[in-house]
Amino acid sequence: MVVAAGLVAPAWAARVGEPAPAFTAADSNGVKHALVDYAGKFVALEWHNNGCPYVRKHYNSGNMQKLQKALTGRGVVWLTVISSAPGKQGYVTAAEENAYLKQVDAAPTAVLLDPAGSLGHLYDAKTSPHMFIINPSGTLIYNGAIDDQPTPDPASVAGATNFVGQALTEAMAGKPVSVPTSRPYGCSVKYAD
Amino acid sequence: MVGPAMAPSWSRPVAAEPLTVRLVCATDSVQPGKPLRVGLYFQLARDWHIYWRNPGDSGEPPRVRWRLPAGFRAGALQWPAPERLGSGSVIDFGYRESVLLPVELQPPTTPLAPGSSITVSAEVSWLACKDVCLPGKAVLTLTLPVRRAPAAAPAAQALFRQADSRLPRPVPKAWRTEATAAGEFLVLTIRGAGAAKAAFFPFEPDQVDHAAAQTTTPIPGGLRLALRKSDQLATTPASLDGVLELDSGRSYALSVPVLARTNGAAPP
Repeated sequence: MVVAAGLVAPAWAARVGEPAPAFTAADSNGVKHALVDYAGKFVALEWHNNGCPYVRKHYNSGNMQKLQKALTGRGVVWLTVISSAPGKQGYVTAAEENAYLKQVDAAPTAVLLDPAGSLGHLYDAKTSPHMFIINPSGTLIYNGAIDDQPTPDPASVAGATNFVGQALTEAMAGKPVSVPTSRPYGCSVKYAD
Repeated sequence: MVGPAMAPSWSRPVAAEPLTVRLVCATDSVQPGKPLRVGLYFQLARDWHIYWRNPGDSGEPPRVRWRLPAGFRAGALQWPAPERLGSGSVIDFGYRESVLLPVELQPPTTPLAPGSSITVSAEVSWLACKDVCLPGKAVLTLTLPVRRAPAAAPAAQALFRQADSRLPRPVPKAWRTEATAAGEFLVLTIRGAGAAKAAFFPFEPDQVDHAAAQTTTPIPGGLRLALRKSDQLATTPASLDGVLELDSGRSYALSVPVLARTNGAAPP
């Protein structure tokens, strides 16, 4: 099911256990990425807003970057998505995003720029961060929070159960994902009005 | 955004942009053997909000950790009925302008001696958002004399009366409520409320799709509210718990057992 720009898919498009919605989106280097390109690989989607205190908790601590490096090192395709509309918090130009990635030493495979919000609406991304994991068969196996600490307090990073790392470790070992959904926490995604 | 200065019922306000928060007491003093009614009073800058016990799709509610004198026990925060905030696909529940969250403190079994004083402290944390979010925290302290009888505290009393009027009421005996799970929906039926329209605010975040419109259908003697299930809802909940707000502005605390409907048909 491919959704063209401007159409809003029904909110139940991104259900765990079902095919993840197909998409094509351009990254911060102008390169197009289609989900179908990554058939045969695990894909992690990370909704991002660099001004949100919950996102900053993970980036200032290095927690997100560490996870990105660990997982891309294991063959996971990590796509950070920015669905903030122009003028809203988190909106960045491609150049700004590339500078930010260097500055924070982030290691996603690519950052998809979604200012019109169509990819965000396709997955019904509610918060930043909001995490999705797609398995090599294209099935959505995780939809929810990055971990079990729904607070912007930096002290909460240590000792948190990271649902993304956990789900990927389980799925890569051929085990069922023990926590396939959790309530995503963070700031609301800053879609266009 | 100024409260009464130096009145015994009010802690020093903590100004933590974009809000001011105080610990307020309904009385000017504590009476031996009697529960003490206090509250967290938030005053927010224009267009900012804080969150209800179920914040909705994003955000988080204020939290408090109490430091109380020996033998005192704090009850849970009481939550005035919230507003629906946000637009589009991300909907939250919370408060704008100002809100008092009352709490009852139970006294120690050995009554306090008149003439002494107690100090009550609250470590409060919150998330305040407008288009951006600012987390905040504060330590609020209130020292109260122990007296046999309270003196008047009109400003504090007015604040608590206003908060009480916004607290959800118990369901009247005349009402008949029913909840069923029907396909993609949880359907709430209310008879005897005499209202044409209602809105439901669930206590649990993962039951109802907060952003979906709630369709009200009139039925003989009442109304039917169709609540789209949350995508996060794994199994049908045993009961639907939350606040029902009627078009009159009054709100009620509901707890309605959910019965499964076998034919799985969507409501009309």
